[in-house]
Amino acid sequence: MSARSEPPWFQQARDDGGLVVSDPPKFDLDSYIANYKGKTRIARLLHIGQTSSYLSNDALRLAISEAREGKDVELYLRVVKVFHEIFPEDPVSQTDTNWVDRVQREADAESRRLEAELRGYKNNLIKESIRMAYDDMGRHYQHIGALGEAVKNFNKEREYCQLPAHIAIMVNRLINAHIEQNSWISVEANVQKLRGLPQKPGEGEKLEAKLSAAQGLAELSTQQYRRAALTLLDCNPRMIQSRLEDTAADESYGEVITPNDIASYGALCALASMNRTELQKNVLDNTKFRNYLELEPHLRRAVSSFVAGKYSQCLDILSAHRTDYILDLYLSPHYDQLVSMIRNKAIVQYFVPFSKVTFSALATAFKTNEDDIIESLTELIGSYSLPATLDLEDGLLVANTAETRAEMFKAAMGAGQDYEKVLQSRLLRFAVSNANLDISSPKQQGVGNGTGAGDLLMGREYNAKGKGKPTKGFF
Amino acid sequence: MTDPSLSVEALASAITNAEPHTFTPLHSHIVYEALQTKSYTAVLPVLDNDIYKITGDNSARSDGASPTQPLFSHALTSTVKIRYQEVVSYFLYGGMIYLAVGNYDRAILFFELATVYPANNTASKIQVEAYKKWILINLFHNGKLPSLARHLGGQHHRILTSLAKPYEAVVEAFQNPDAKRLAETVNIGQAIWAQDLNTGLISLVLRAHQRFAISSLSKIYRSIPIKKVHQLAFSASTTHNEVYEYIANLIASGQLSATLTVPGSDSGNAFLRFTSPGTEGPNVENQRIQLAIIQQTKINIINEYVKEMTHTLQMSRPYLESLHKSKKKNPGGDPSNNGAANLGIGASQYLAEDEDEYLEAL
Repeated sequence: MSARSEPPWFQQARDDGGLVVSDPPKFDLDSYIANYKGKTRIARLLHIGQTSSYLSNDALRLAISEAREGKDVELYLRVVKVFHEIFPEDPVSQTDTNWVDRVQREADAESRRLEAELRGYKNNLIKESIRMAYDDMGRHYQHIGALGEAVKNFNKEREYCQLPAHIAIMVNRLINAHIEQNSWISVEANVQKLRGLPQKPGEGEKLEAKLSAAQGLAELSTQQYRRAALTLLDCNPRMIQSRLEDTAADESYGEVITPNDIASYGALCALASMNRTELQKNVLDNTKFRNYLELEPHLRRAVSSFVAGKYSQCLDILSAHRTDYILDLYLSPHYDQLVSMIRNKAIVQYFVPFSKVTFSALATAFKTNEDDIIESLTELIGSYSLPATLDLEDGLLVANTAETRAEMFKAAMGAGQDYEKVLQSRLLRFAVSNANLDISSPKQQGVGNGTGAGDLLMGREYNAKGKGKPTKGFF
Repeated sequence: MTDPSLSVEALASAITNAEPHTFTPLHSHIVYEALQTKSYTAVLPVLDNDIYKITGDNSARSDGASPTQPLFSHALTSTVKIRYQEVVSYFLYGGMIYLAVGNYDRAILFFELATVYPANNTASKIQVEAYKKWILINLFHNGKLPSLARHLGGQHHRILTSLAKPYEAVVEAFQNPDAKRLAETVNIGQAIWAQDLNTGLISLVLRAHQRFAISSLSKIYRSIPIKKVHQLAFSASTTHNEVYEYIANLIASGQLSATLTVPGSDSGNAFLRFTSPGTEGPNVENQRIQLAIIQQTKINIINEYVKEMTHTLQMSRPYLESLHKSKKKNPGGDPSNNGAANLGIGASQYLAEDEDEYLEAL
């Protein structure tokens, strides 16, 4: 392949704060992408092309040829544009306008044909045909990239579904369309909907894994890491078995996510959000999830290290695989944050048994220098995650000792003072009202019109016209 | 030449010999006199005696029931009607007196009472002045502002905040650790502070900002080099020595509980070590017990006044009417329970025994 010197586009991307990796990943691009089917292949290849300077050319070429086999004109144009920005001299980066026009025309023709069919079926009032027509239209629009239209049609399909199986198909399509749109709230909503519907026993199980995967993905993308962990750790392992037998099988979810992804997302989210006992129980002792975790043995080692308190080992494994994870379409925007959460947790957990620790010991334990560890500690203390203070004179991290009796006394006195204040205010408010000493604007001021304590209770103060208005003041 | 504070002393003794915890027309006189003659010590006993009732000419009640508040029998006051301005300005002036003697907690309480004094869709200018001072002392003494919004009616609150806008700007600038911003904001409002006679308070606030910047460091650092304090809490234009001197003064005056350690003779490497305020001495438990007893006595006194107020409320006509109505709706219901729930002060044990008489009379 062409020289591995980095195209200038990537340096620019780095300067703009984008994520870029330059090392070769641990996976082989072709076998990696073979695990996925459908349009996600293009999306993933596009992501890799924009993130990895090493794989960019190969990934984007593949993306273009994939796009040309599809019918989504906009996606094709987007991929070509990116390719052109990064590799302006490469001949492949020229837009094939013939192709674009042809596919556009075909797509429009197909749309019109389907709409005509639909009208025909509607006239005949055959529910089943109408349903299938909406389904075809939805899928057509999804193929050509008109996701809004696709979703509309799938939603319209709803009222023509008569069997639970129909509904299941329709909601599945909806979920996939929403995933493609990155509308995560809709994804979660539809998963809940489908979960609530009764299914035939065999069918239900098949669906389960897909639903958990979709839900977990949505939760990850909306940064609900703990919930994502719990969802994914509970995912039904059927998906693995079916995929091993036939990657094109219905049960594999290759159009969205692979079992390896489920393992990665689940393990990482768990590491970032659970403490060591929970990790032991929910990850290592979890028989269901074990099937997934076996697919990513290094993550199992990472979790075991963390549980055993070998934090630097765990962090080493995570940083060794960083490139791979940054190249994953859904994990990429969250990876660094997850690792930083894991690291912070590790620091806090490390300190739990101590009352004092030197900075140098901490720095060694986390394989960094003292300044770096001090910075992390400052951040942790400032965010109230670490109950300690820094002794920069002696180079120590010192735990906060609670003088419980003094604090309790202070709290009790404080409560007493608040009580005093509130009561005093109430008494004064009553006295003021009773004596008609409320402040009123001049035209309202009534003197001696016989209002008394009872009106206070009703919360009213009578003005000269005798109408009641609620007053506030003195708590 | 008579000692001007004599008048204050005379008023003070008259008030303290009269009914305790009760506001009289004398109160507004005495705070005014005290401020005019700068005789603060004489008036403190009056101020320290919290107000729970107001006396004076209680207007005749339409239901003909006898007034439940005993009238102040002094000839000077029994025929004088109190106006609200007297009560509100009592709190404002009282707060200012506490300020003058350095009792900031009581000052804050007084300004707050003036500010939240009941106002019907309006606010008095006296309240606005009290509000402004309340803001400034809270900043200076506590470093932050408690929220008053829920104690104030909408219009009342709006008037206060709009008239005190420059002060709210100071609050915002104060939250920012950058001292320059605060200095600028203060500078812009020079004329306003002068007109409101708040320049003294403003300068206290400025000094406090620096103080809080340093003491907030104690949340993260147990011991920190002065160089770093300089970097984090002071503007770049101050010299190292200035920082050192300032901190030393803070510690010496007791406003910061910390120690300075200087290795060698060079103050350049000095460290500031925060300590907890007041190490526990052997007498601390006794002191705590004393404080708790004082507070308990005070609360007991307040509770007595609350009982009286509750009784008055329950004897009032509109309340009895409503009880009667609800009794009609719920013939089997227990009226005393309704009463207690309405009052919310756990008052069921204070209900008068002869209530039924009144109910039947309606």
